Amino acid sequence: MRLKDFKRSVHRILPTSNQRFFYGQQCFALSYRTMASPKITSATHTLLHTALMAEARPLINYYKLQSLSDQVFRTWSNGLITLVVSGMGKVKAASATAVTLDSLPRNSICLNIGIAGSDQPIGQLLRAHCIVDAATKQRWYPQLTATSDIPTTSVCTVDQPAIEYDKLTSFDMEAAGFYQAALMYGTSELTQSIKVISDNPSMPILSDGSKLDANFVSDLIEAQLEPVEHFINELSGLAANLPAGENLDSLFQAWCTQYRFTVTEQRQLKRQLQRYWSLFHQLPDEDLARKQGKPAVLIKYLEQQLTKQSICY
Amino acid sequence: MSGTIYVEDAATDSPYTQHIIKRHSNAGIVSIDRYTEVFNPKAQNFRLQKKNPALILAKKHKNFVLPAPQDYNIGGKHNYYFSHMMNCIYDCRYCFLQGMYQSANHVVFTNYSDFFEKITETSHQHSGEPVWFFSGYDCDSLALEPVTGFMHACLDYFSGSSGKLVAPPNAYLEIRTKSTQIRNLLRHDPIPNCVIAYSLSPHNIADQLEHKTPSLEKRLLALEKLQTAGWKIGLRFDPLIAAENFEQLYGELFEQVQQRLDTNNIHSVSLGTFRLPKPFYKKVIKLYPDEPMFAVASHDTDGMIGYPVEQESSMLSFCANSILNFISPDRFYPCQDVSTIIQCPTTV
Repeated sequence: MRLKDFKRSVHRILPTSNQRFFYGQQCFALSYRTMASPKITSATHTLLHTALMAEARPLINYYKLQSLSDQVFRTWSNGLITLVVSGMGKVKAASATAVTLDSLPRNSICLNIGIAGSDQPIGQLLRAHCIVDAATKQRWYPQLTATSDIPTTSVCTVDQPAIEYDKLTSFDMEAAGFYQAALMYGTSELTQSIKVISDNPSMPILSDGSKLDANFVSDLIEAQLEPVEHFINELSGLAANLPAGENLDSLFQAWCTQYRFTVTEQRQLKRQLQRYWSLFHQLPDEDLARKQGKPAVLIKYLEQQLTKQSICY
Repeated sequence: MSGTIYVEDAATDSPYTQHIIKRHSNAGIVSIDRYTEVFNPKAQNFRLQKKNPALILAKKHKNFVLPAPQDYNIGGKHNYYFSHMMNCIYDCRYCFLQGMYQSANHVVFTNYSDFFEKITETSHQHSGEPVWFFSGYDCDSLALEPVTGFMHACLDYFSGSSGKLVAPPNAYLEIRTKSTQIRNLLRHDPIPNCVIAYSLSPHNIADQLEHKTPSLEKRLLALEKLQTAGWKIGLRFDPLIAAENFEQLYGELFEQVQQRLDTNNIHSVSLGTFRLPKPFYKKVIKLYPDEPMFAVASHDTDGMIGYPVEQESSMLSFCANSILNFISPDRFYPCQDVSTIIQCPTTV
């Protein structure tokens, strides 16, 4: 079966709302499995980013994610949640985030989850209200629109493991890279970073990182799965307020494939379909384009139909 | 109110900042250098933030008082506006703020006395002539009053009861609002140089497009109370929204106004149709592509998006002629040119 035919056959058996959640070829078979998961409360796609395999493992098990082959970075997915492990450092974090988000729908939920050092109790879960790149002093403020009980912190991303601790600041090595890259694909309200405190003044990390035991890190993350899931659901609830566009996409794509629209005409057509949908709560007959013949005539015809319409309050 | 308050370092010492923080003892406080770090970045979604906007307390450094746009006046020659706040707790679908700002967070500038100093300075520049200062351009003047206390301070300044800074006699104030937070106004003696202006829309339109606002009934009740208390009141029918049943809706609205208020005692009335600068419109339809009112109002007239010219004229004509049946022409200030479409009023 050719890829195109395979895509079509999968689209036929999956609900429309699930069509856009494919990640590469390998997600086609996984999407169906996802639909039965009781842990996912929304249809918005979520990207989880971790630096270490030890941070990712509890999430992979919890969300029953399956490994995707032929990826630049190690990636897992269940169709609705995709997880990427970047390796340590902000450059790798930015690269992995950008590469993965390039294949996901725009305005997906993006969540960086990882360990950090701070003068806070070991195991404490914190949400970033500010992310600072220690090297460039650049700052970002993830919008705290989604409600959450998780206390907030300023996260300072350093290039080398930090051995100083502060009550108000958590030190990590990836958040700034992740955040900067994720914002190119999404929106600040849905792009967040949460940290679990792994080292503090009474249990410091060594400068070579040798205190980082993989099982210890996994246990820290595992202990916070419930609030993490709750937070993801809050973000999903917020994302549900974004306008849905897929109802127009199929007709728009079909007409653009069948007829030659200039870029300007495509823009006009898309807006007119939006207007048509908002006024009539349905799309024009698919055959309309053929009846009108030329794209310019079709656009003019739609404009005339829309201009006649008024709203009764 | 949001669980997060961002506080600019420069605004920390303001007593108003401290008062607001004390009022929100459960909120998380985040220190920031400048409010623009949180408010201005791209990759923010106004629609999502409207669900749970944060509060930003900041210090304003310049542009306290700005010249009002042309046609934004109620008869004065010198017109200025000022905004102690950016954004609004209401969520009117037609509002231009959603096309103007990246963020829906509420910014409150807590150095109130600096606004009053600039109003004094600007009034002195036009000494001997009335100077109008419009509040409620980038926000609703009263909606967040219980939190900010700005209007309380402003009324003290305009009435001269603060003792420190007193508004010059040629300074006039318009407080534009949809809010029914009028307790402070009713406690205060009416100020001759001050007009409380309410934006009014027909009940059905307010219900469907002016989310989170007090109902038309509540606004009329507030106007009644203010008028009875001796305050000068103004009516603002702006924006007019096109509808299949336009004349029925607006006809009923004008009837209600005449029944509820002493029309001989209304300071001023203004009106204008829905209109948005094209860049704002483009941004707004990305936020709300499914909103029917934007599907109808999409006509471009010299960079302003609104209704087709003939439709606009017909709407303005109906409303202007209806209003002039109960308001004398010297109290009528349309925001768009209606000189060619007004018929002779039957009664004035």
